[in-house]
Amino acid sequence: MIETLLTPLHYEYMVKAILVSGLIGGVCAFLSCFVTLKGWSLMGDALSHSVVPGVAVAYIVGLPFAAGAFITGLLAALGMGFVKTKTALREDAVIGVVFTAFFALGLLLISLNPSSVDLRTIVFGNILGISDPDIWQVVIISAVTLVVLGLKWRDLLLFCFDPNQARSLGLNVRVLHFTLLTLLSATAVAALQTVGACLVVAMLVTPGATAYLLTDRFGKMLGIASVMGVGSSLVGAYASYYFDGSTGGCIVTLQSAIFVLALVFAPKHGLLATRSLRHAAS
Amino acid sequence: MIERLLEPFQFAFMVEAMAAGAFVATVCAVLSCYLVLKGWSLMGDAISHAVLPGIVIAYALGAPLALGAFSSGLLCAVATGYIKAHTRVKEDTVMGVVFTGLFAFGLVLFTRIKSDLHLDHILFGNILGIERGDLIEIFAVGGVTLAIVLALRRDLLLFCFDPGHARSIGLRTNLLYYLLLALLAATIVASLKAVGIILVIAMLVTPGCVGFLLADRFGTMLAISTGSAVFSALTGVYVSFFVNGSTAACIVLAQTLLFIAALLFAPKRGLLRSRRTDGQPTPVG
Amino acid sequence: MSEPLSIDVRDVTVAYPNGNVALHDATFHLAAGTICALVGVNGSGKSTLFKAVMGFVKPVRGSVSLGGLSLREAQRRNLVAYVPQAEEVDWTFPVSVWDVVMMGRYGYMNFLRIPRAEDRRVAEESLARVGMIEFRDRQIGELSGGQKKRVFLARALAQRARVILLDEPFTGVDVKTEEAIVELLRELRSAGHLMLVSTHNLGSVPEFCDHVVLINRTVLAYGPTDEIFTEENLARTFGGVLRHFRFDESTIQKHDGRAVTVLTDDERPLVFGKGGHLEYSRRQEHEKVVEERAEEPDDK
Repeated sequence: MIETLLTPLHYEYMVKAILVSGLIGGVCAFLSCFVTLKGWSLMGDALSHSVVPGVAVAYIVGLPFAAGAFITGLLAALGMGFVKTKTALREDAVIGVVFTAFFALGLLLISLNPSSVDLRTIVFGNILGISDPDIWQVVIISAVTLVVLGLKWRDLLLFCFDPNQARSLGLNVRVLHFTLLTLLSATAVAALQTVGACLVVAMLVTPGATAYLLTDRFGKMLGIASVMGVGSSLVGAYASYYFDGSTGGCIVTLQSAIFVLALVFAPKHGLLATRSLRHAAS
Repeated sequence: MIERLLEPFQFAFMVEAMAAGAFVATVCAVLSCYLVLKGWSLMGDAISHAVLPGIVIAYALGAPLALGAFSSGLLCAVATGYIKAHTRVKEDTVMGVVFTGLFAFGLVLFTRIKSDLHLDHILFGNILGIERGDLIEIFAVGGVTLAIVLALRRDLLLFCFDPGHARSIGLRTNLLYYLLLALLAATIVASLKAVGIILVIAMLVTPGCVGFLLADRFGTMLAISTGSAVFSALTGVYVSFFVNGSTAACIVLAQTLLFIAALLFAPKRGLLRSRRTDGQPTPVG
Repeated sequence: MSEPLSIDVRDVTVAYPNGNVALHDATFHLAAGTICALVGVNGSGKSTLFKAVMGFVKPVRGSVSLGGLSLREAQRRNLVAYVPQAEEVDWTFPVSVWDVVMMGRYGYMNFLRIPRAEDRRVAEESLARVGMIEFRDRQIGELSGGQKKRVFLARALAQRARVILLDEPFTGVDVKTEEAIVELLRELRSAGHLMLVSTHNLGSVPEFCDHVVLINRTVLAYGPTDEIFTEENLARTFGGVLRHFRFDESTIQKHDGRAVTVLTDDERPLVFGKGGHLEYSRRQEHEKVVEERAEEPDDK
């Protein structure tokens, strides 16, 4: 029994995949606290789709994928900001137009060069087959993100909570805005490797949302989200050995299940708790 | 030269693809006007991803795939609404959590259930390989959806514009809410085979935005959206024949180009227009 | 036209899904031919009560009825109209002034909402009544604050509603439009309509409202304005939030011992004395001012 459970760990690629997933899961979860509080969840989704043409180009011309992805991610973010300020269109519509355009461009590029890029790798990730240079890219991105978040989390929290107050304290709000966008793009790129473009947003939202249901303190929220992100990614990657390699599917399904548990049973903000409050009123 | 340009029309599959593309574009464009105005653009994103588990389960049970897709799409919308109403988590976050959860679940199911479904076709459409049966399904589902939207277009517009007033004159706004969601899910189901669940999001947002930028009456907005979407679909299919690339991507990129054109040149709200008026103040006098 | 209409709100308790009780045991009754102000601070449940009367939220307990009819039935008969707050409306919507007023007629139209000659006539008449007929083809975002308000009033008129709810109708509106709206409301009152106006503009309440409902999480008092709109009741409604400026303690000179109180809910009144100089609400810290002015000649 124990022998079969340990089988996945006998393969070097599995161990690598599990560790890298855990790292990415932790970084994304840390960032997810800011993303959910700022209301940028769908920005995460949009950016993760927008990096696709960059990844495609990078693979086609043989550059590090992170560089290409990062550039198109930021281009998309700038494009959204530009269109939003110049028109009366709602923000969600602008996000929708821009990210689908980028994704379509990526898809077209890939369909024109089927030999150099594997579409599935981008859309679903391929952590089990991740190459060593790619691992280095992910580790560097994670390290930089964690350092920036670790040093600047108080400023970013204030920016998410009350941008005007941040401005009045003399903080440069534009820089903070840009920093958060950059971190979001960077982690989206890293997460692309593990779960693929479609599911990145889950890594960037679900842990934060779960923690938000469980606590009212930001410090605790960071802790809960990170533990959940790391834990679910380790377990999910491990379990994907039994699921024909759908690592992203396993990790995110696991995270969603934890969210549902928190949703129902959270002591103060869960469905059961609020229901009894409502009953008390009538 | 001309012969080369007319070549695509000699293939039945190209003509069918154009017909299906234009029709799907029409249905999506009409609906996109409502979504853009209601602020539901990303609801299309959520529902379209969420249809995946429904398709896989329907396949496993031997039920019609469209039915499965429709149910799980609707489940996503209803669950989002319920969680948002009953917790303090923001709507966009809830949406992100729910649809990715369903999509991931669909992926896991897909790997466990041996099927002859092509994941690529579900995700990106396969408009050039569309079969007669698919075509009939597209026209049936899309036709019914379109008929309902057009018949109720004034009620739906009022619901988007001022739900308070809609309620005060006795319209059942709850019903309209779920109806609009159901129509959205049905549209996505109809578009699945043609453009796939990822790029249908563009079909459900971009034409409405083009119309919004160019029109200040709803009727005009509908007409412009539909016109631009149909034109993009035809152009996209046609161009993809020559470049030999993803057809759905070509359609969406054609729509994007029209959007950029509208953004720049719209007579009232275009960027170039406003710059010109800024630069040359009207002489006083 | 039809029988006089009343609003009956009985023991209404509203709790939101997250467990918050926004309003409890609210009860009041209003008869036709009334302009009634709904007064309370932000967060007092004012907008919740409004929503309950409109049927936007379902009370966990209690009932709302109009002239003995259930809310749904009253709405189906087009008896209730709602003039939303400016912030609730998306002004970029591609609809014209005419389209908005026509929406008031939807309840009278068939399933496809195709207007008939009668609908067009009523819409035109309503627009003319608020003086907006020449703007009929404007996109709604191109209007000024006061014009926007008038368009939505025209929609309520076109609806031929007997009960009209107005949510903060005077915010963002110029003085002239405010007067025009008040005049129109008075006309409607004499025609037997019932208007419920939510407002935080205390000063204007006695000017045009004959009834008031005071709320703070529940209905504290309701009835004719001159009976209910007392200092004591308002103090209860606003708790410590209300700003007082009592003249019996102020730096104003030569008051005869009888107090005049200025009340205002969110802004502090600026008071000038008889000589046009600034007045302060307390005598402490301003002894010098009081002395100086005491030496001034009597301005009687």
